[in-house]
Amino acid sequence: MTVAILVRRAQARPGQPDDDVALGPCERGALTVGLSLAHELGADAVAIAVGPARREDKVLAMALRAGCARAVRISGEGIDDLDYLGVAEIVAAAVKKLGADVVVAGDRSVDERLGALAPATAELLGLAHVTGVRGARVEGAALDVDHHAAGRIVTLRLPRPLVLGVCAPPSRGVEAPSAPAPSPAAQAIVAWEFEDLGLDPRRLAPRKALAGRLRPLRGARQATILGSAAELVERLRAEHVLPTPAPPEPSS
Amino acid sequence: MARAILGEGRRIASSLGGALYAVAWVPPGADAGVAAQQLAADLGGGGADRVVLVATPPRPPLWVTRGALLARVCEQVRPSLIILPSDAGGRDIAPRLAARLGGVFVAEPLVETGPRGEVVLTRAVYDGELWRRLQLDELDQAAVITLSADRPPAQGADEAELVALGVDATPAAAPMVVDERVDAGLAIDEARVVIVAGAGVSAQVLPMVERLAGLLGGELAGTRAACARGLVAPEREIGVGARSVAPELYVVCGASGSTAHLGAVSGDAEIIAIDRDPRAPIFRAARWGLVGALEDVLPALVAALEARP
Repeated sequence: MTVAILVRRAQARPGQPDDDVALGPCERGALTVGLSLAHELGADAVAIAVGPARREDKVLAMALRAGCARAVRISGEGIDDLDYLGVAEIVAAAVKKLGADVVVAGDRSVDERLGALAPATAELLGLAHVTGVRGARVEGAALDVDHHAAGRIVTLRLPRPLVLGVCAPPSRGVEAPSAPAPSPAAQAIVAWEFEDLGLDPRRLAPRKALAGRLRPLRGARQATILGSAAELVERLRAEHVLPTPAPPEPSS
Repeated sequence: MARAILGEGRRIASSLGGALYAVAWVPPGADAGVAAQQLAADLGGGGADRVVLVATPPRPPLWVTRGALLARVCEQVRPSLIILPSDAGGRDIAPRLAARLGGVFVAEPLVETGPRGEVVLTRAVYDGELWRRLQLDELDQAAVITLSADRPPAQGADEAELVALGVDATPAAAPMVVDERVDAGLAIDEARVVIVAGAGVSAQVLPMVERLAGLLGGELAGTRAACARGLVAPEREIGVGARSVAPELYVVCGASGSTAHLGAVSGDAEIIAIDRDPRAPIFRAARWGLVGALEDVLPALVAALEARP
């Protein structure tokens, strides 16, 4: 039995790894939940990342150090230009090859914040999915999944196989290690390309223009820096941003 | 929520010269005829041209309970654009519906109409330094988007036409709800004012941040760094993957303004930043800023707020 955990290196810009972040908060949550489920199931946890080695090997090595049995990196020409569904096709092919029956992904990446990979992967695999997940536990042939919605935590029981989109772990929860990866871990990373997954790059090509054209934001905004707290309060009152103060109590 | 989404849908449909369908869930036990007439009048008044009625499936509103029904509606109506609310259910359903249709998915875009009537979807990515842009009339696929509720409603002229599609069905994989409890951080979700403590807030400064929250009638929250140190309760953590907020006023004390933090704050919030580093990214997101040590600035701010105008 295998639990597939999708990890992804946060990027400051497309193709430019963000050394301050590495794993985003949701990917940390996915790693925490995925490893916990693998432990309960007595399954192997396999980390999967899509992208070039120079970017993704750091997070794959982190996943191995956190307890994943294996790590798989999938790379190929133009892979970063694909939209959510193109990436999901690659992930779904890898999950099929691994034979995983639980797939855990971060709910939203910190850079794009789209939140589409888990649902789209589930669609291509024909599996049920739940997003907004805060935790999950094994319950026989099912999983009990804590789903966060509208100020409530709803625990749902769903049969496996299942795809989960996991939010950030609790602030005091188990953290994935953030230390730089040692070289032995990096050596354990398996590299797959499109042909290893039976994917034809030409079939994925139409998904390249559909993420939307990237454009720089012109005229970056800057806050009005005020000279004193009193000036700030005066400005906020003038613009009716502050709540109106209650009238003073009449003295008796 | 539905009314605001409907309003945006009306504006887009008018720009595209298309019809606006509203999918309405008929509550269980409701008199179908009466409910249909009420929904036709209400949704027509909100801008819908046609209303598709579907019997409400089991809770919660997720893909596993509603996805198959919505996909069947889309197969019959064949829309070019589908709009869902940007709540937990909408975020769960929309990307999967897009994948089912082989379509494009855009989360919470800014929707603008160009000079030729073209509808353009844009959204800020990569810490707000880049934008992604899609033009609807350039797409061969259907587009699915999620929208927040902070949009003005539209005014429709007439009662909407009721459309019978016969898509009611019990979903095969309805989940069993085994527990449901209130989230302890709920008050922040609906707060008009949120004061957030960041990594720069120490245990000594925290009472002053709490005092500021009290004076502004706001809710105290924390970034991941502040919550991890135990200064603020974990259920009050603001951040991508933690809690998202949409207050009118958002006061940030001692936080740099990372994407992981600000990605969870509505773009409509007026942000006040207080930090010792004038180059911190938070000052690019904020409207007003105070630069200085929190130990100096916060007591002065509290004193200024306590002083009567």
